[in-house]
Order: sequence, then C-alpha cells, then structure tokens
Amino acid sequence: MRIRTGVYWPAAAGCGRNQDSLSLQHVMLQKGECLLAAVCDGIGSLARSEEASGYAVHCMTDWFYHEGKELICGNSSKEHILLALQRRLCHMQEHLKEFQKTEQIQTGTTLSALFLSRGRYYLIHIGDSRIYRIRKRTIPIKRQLYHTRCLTTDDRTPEGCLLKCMGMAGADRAILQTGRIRKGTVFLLCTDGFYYGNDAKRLGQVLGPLLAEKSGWRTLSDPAEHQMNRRLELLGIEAQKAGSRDNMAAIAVCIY
Amino acid sequence: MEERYRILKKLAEGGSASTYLVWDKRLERHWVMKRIRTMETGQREALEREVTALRQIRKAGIPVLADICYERDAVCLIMEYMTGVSLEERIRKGGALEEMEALDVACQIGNLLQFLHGLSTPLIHGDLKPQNLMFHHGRIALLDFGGAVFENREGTYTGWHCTPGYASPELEAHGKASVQSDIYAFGAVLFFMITGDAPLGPRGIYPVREQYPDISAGMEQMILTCTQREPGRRYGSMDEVLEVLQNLRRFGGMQHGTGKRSPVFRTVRSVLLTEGTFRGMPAGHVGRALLLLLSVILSGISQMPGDMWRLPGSEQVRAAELLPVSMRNTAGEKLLVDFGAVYHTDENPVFELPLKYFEAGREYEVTISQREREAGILRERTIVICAQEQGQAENQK
Repeated sequence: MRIRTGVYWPAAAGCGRNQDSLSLQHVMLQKGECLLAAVCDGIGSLARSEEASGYAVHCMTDWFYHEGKELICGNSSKEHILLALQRRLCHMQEHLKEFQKTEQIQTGTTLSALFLSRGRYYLIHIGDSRIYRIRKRTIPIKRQLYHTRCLTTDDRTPEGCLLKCMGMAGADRAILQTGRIRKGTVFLLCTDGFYYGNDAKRLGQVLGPLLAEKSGWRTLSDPAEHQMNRRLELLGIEAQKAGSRDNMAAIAVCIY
Repeated sequence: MEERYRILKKLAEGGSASTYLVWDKRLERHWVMKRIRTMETGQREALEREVTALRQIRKAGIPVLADICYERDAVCLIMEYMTGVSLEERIRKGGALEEMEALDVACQIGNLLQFLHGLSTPLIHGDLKPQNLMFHHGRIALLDFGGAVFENREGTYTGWHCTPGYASPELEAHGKASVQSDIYAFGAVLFFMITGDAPLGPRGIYPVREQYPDISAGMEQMILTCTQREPGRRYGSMDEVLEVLQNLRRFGGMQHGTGKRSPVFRTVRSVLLTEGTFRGMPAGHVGRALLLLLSVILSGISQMPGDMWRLPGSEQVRAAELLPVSMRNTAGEKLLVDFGAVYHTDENPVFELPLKYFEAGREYEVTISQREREAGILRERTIVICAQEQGQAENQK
C-alpha cells in the first residue's frame, strides 16, 4: 500500500491572512508508511482565530512526532492510539482555554484530522470541516465510477451556527473513530470554504481518477503529486465560482 | 551409484562440473548430485576442500553433504536438494531490493558467514556471489563450497574459483582468502542487492547514493567499508558487520554509527501551513523576521537533488535552551517539525526566527553552522541582528 498526497491552502480574496491551517506529515517508519493530515478552520468571528487553528495543527504535529510514531513502533493497539488522541485533544482544549483566560479573548477552531498507519485510519473531528472518503465502485451506478462518502458530521445548526469547536463548547464530545483502509481509496480533508458548492459527487469525479494514476510515485519531485495539487486547486476555483468567500484548506491522501 | 540414484534432470552446467537432480531409490527422496568430470590438480584440491568443509557443517541454510560416489573420470557429491530461486535470478527478474528487505537478506547471509567464520577452525567460503545464494523456503541458503578454505592453513590457492567483481583484490591478485575477502564479497553482494547493478560494471562499486539518493547514508557507508581495497580498512569480522547491520535495521538505515534511536526512517513529506504563531502560551509579538540566509550559505549542499542532512538532536539540549527556528521551502511550506528527523530537499531551505525572541534595541549574534555528518567538516557563518520596534523601523524608512 502506497500513499500520495496533495495540499491546497489559499487565502480568501481580499483577506490578508488565511485563518485556516493545515498540517501534512508523511513519514516512512520501520513498520511502514505513516501519515497525519489535519485541517483547522479558525472561527472568523472570534479573535485571533488563525492562532487557534495554527496551534491546533502544531499540537497535532507534535503529537505525531513525539507520541504517534512511538505508539506505532511500539505496536500499540488501536484503543491505545485512540486514547492517546483523546488525551491530546483534552490537552489542546485546556491550553486554548488558558490562553483565552490570559488574553481575555474568545477564540476557537475546528479540527479534522486523519492518522493513517498499519492498515488503519484514525479520525478526529470537531466542528464543520469535513473528511470524505472516495472509492472506486465495483459496479458503476448511473455512470458514477466513484463512491464518495462524508465520514464526518457538520456540528452546526441549519442556520449555520457552530455547535462544537476547539477552545469553545463541545470539545469533550469530539468524534474519534477508526477503521480499516484499503487500496484504492482517496481521503479528502477540507474546510467549509472548500466544500462550499462542491457536492460529494463532484469531489468523487475530480479526485477519483487519481486512483488510476500510478506513475512517478517514487521520485521526490513527484509529478503525480503536482497533479493532485492541481485537482484540489480546480475544486477550490469551482468553490469560489459557486460563491465561496471563505479561506480554504484541503488535503488529499491517495492510497493505492 | 546407478543402483541407488536415478538422474531426473540437469539443473546446471559449468566448465567442469554439472549439477543434477537425482532420486534416491533407497531413501525415496530427492538429492542434488554435483558431478565433477575432469580431475585436474586445482579442481581436485577444490573438491577435497568442499568435501572437508561440508562434512563438518550442520546448519540450516547450508546444504548437507549426504554421500560421495566415485566414478572412473569423475567424483559425485550427493547433497541436500534446495529448491528456490537464486538471489541473482530474483534481482534480474524483479529488480533491486528495497532497503529494508536488502537489510533482512544481508542479515541472513551475515549470520551464515558468521557461523562459518566462527567454527573452531574458521572456514572462508571464498566464492560468495548472488548465484551461490538461494531463497529456500523464504530463507537464504549458501551454496557451492568449491572455493572454501580453512583460514589457519596456507589459504593460498590458484584462484581459478574467483568471480570477478565479487572476489576481493587480494584474492584475485594473489589467491589469498581470508575473513576480509568474504567481507569484501559480502559488500559486493549487498551492492548488487540494493542497486541491481553488477559490481563489475563500468563504474565498479560506486557510492550508491550518487545514483539512488533515497538509499540511506548508513547503507552506502557499509558497502564502501566492506569493499575497501585494503583488507585492513574493511570491517574486522562478520560480528562487526552484523552489529552494524542490526543497527541499520533497528534505526531504519539513517543512524549509522551515531548510537541514537530515531524511529523515523524517512520523511516523505512534511508540510505545515499556518499564519498563526500561537503555540499554547501568550504571544507578545506577532511579527516575525524572515531570514533568507541559508539559501547562500547552504547552496553548496542543497543544490544536489535529494541531498539530506541531520540537524542537531533536540534530545541533547533541553527545549528551553534552544532558539526556536523553523525551516521552510521556497513556497513557504514549513519543513522543520521534528529536530530528530532527516529532511530531504532539492531546493534552498529558508530558516525563520521569530522576532519575539529578540529584544528591541539589543544586538544579537546568530551563528549558523553546517556540519557534514560523515566527514565532520564544519562551516559557520555569524550574522548580527538588531531588532527594532515596529514604529521605529517605519520612521527610519
């Protein structure tokens, strides 16, 4: 099983700073390939939200290098890994609360992260960012070659009011789940600005064909990786055309 | 002989010997019969060596010598039948092995050689090459002891058994076999496994990372040490070779000789994109100074595609004493996340120091040092930085 990745991170038009943050860490361990992908959307209506989202991705990255890889090398069970992720979420929440108290501000961020290792995925989700899973259909239905499923739920009301996010309420009710991964899967992690106007079917249409491209994975300057970035960019432009005025952050992880 | 063994098929044929698959009518099992046709002096000696060597050995991975039959113009050795593909065939068909797989195979070969060298009278195989290594039930087996010699004897012979490329220079030139000549052949086999190129090619045994940058520095160093021209500059024994191999396997190939453990084998991609500088504590300044310094200083090493270096391990110094520094590529993507890892890059790295660590009005000397890991060559450059208040800087403009 091999992994190929792509990232997209543009600031919204007319906005000086991108309040979304992302982290993609892909390493080769003795136990095989291991990856962490995280996207965070700083809550724009709150103060210094880019710092909150930046902190969340930094914190997840630190976890990956200091605890995650040790857990993998130590053959830890999936329950242990989920527990470690939960501990890290609590730690982040405490720090964010402390920061808010010291600075006397309110800040928050969504967090959607994916940890892949030893044939399993671990998913952490809080807020309205999304994680999609795209697979090739065995039998195409109505000319749809790819099946796209959103693995997360949007923690917000129909009016768009966010119910849960890091730093604010509901962080203790984050979604943590695990499952088996198989060859021929694309995971897409994105913030709301990116999936705006792009339905699941369209995401599958654009990102699904990545599963057919196999050339050039071995080199460091991977042409297929540029192809992934371009496809994400295409979806980003489509979202903007559909009326998205938000910052965007997206990571595509192709397992083939 | 014909009463007992029935020849089923010819397995291989060399200049003076043929190998057959035979059926033992009495024991009802397969054997391999090595039939040496002509008995010139050198061949007779080689045969006697093989018989003497194999008689004493009982070890998985080394064929058991079951019987010796004499014919009018030949001698037949009946040996254990080992099925499988040779290492050469495997690599010719499937290409070079991945580094971890090559390390695994090398450990198996190393164990067999260590066993031979560790006998009461050390036995030198003398003709280690991919054709003589076979994958038998998933494990490596060592075949053909025609070049074997006991170390405490003279150790010199005609050298007709030498395989160019795998035979050490002293074995080729003077026919002198030693533990070091097996170590040389071991290095050449390792080179073949990892590159798929024969060691007798136009370039000989070259530094593998020139051609294949994703191979670890430790592996390259090991091949080069094993295949030094001077026997004294190679590893002293197979014990030493195995120790290095075990370290390479445990530390993922990157930590040759450092004795530090890092489970990161290779950073494939590391990207961190954020505009927030908050790291869980109140941030006083949000301004940052971008120091585009190392694009000049490190240009000498960073222009080579896939070049890599190791930054000082964070475990050596307490985190509070370290100057926070981040490393980005020219696109602004953050590269440096873990100080213990090895970073591959094919473009100039940009180092960034947050301005908040510089008190306004004071002058700071920032020293950037670059040390080549293997040779230990150190290069340094010092820059003086004087941080200014934001308003003050604008007034000066």
